[in-house]
Amino acid sequence: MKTMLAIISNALCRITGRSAVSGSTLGARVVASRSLSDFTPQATFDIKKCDVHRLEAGPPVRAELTREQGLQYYRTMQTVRRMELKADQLYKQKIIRGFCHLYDGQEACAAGIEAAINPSDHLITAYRAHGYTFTRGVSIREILAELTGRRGGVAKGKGGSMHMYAPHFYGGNGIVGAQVPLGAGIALACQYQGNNQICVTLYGDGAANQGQLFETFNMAALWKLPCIFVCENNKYGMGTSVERASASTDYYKRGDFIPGLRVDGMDVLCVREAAKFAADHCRAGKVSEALLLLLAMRAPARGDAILGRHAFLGITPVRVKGLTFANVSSLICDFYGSSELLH
Amino acid sequence: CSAVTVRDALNQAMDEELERDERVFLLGEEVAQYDGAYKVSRGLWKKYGDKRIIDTPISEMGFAGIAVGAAMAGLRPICEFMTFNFSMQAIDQVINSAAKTYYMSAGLQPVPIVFRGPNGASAGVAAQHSQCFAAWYAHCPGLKVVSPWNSEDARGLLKAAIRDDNPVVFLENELLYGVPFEMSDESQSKDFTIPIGKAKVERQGSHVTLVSHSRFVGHCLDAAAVLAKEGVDCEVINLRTIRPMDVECIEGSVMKTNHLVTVEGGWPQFGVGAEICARIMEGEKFTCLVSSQFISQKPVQSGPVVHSDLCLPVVFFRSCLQLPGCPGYQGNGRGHPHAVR
Repeated sequence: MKTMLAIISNALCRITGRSAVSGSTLGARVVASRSLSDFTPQATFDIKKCDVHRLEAGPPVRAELTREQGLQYYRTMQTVRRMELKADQLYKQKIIRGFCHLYDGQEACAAGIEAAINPSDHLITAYRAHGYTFTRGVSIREILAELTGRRGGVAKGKGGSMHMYAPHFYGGNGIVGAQVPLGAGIALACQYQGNNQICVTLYGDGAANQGQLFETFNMAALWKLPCIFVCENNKYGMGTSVERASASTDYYKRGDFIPGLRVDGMDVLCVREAAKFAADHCRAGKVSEALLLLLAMRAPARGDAILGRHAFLGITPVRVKGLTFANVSSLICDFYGSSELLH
Repeated sequence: CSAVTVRDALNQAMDEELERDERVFLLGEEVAQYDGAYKVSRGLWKKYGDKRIIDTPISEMGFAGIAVGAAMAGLRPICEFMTFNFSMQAIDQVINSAAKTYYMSAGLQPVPIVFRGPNGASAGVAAQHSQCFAAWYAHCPGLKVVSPWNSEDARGLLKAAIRDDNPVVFLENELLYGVPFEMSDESQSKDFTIPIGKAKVERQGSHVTLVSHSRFVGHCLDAAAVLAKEGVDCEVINLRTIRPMDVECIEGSVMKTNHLVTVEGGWPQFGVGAEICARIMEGEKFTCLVSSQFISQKPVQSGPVVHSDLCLPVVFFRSCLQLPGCPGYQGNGRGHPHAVR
């Protein structure tokens, strides 16, 4: 290894015309290097404690992350981010028409939940669905083709942004809140068939005030359906802030008799641990009860006039637990060569 | 051959389909321990238990959505509305979640569900409980809408609906539940189904075509019997399915009789009769009509009008045929038909 470094260093010096021997500070030199065998395979991180509702204890406050997992979460979130930014651009160019509800800024939720459940579990969400469409297995090509109304789209161009489907992924639903009873129905099917699967049913802070949610919570609790209800709170329902729409913004308590957790939705590990906790809680054989997660996020600019683009730029892009892409700390160097992240 | 009430025919149909296919289950208000609000599901909970016959709280939007979700995930639910008036609470789930999904997903996500329950007026239940929803649901692509009349219809069409992979709206009639009809042995066999989308000519005739669905088929047959004594030969068509409508059957009949009357329990504007008239008038067979058609229906009054509501269709229908100028009555096709409102 050292010989190779010496060879490279000399070559660089030759190229830049400096002499390595003269000890000049100018010129290209290989300063440091790490080989793969030097990297840490696993690390443990402290995560934010979740507020609990009707639960004795919440998820653990420490999360383990292997190298592979970290890379995978990072890749997933980065891909979703870039896909959404591209979709934003295409929408402004009028290549995507109709609705285009973007998920950039919320990627940790999709990545964290998918990390916690099995592919055989079920998931249904509202119309801000591109991220979940990807995490549930649809290719970027099929998503973008669907958004642009092409035959190669996952729904042959007939569904568009809000109606993309995959095995065990039920869209993409256009009517605010309608997906929540559907999700409980999918959970009923899991219970009926005795297959130990669960359904993750997502909705937003806006949908949290829909009557059909409370009808659903009642039946889910009554029948002990294996359903995780997840509220993704991005602080705005279209242009209306949560304070102006909800008498109580403690959405994790709004299920009343359904236990709940308030989760930091910007932290993929926090989301993962909470979702794992909820999935275990729900599966048949354990408590077999519905659970409500509240993923609290910073308010991203959803194209609303109120926040504007500058607020969006202020959001820290892609977090892998306290480590930002832009900020390469020593911890990240322990994990990855920067080339792996930057590719 | 034996006499079976519509209620029992429906009950047998559900019983047999529950037995035949593990994925079929029934949910709705009072369907289990109460044996059904109108006793249509009598004995089923005792036989199949809590897992397959589910009592729901009074949450139409919630349980209809749950039923649709279960259908998406591979089960075959029968979702009962105590009457279709309450389906309005859940209509978003019926239309936007059930009817449209197969199309929006380009065939990836079928929704094999049956929404059933009594439709239209009962005896004196007043305006909020008396609406006919045939036209509302039949308007929407993605749904099949079925409206049986007698026991054979009820049994065959319900079995067909449960076996159909599309969302089917199954419109029953409360007043027919207790009415017995003769049923052949063949129609009582376990695999007896009636194809959805095919009408039936209940009575052959040559002077005027009466098209109807549900309870009013019976009224048409009664009127036809009366008119026969006066020399008017009516052909009575039982639509059986509202959507997709069997226009060919009506056209074939009109070619023969040259006169058309539609009889229904819905309101006149934008309704089933209006659609039939439009299809015939816009179609090839328009030239077969000697005079323009008219729609006869029972006007639904608000307020506590009691039994006179019930008598109204028959009286109005017969009176309109007795009006001078009525094509059927006159037999020579001349005259000016009156639209009955």
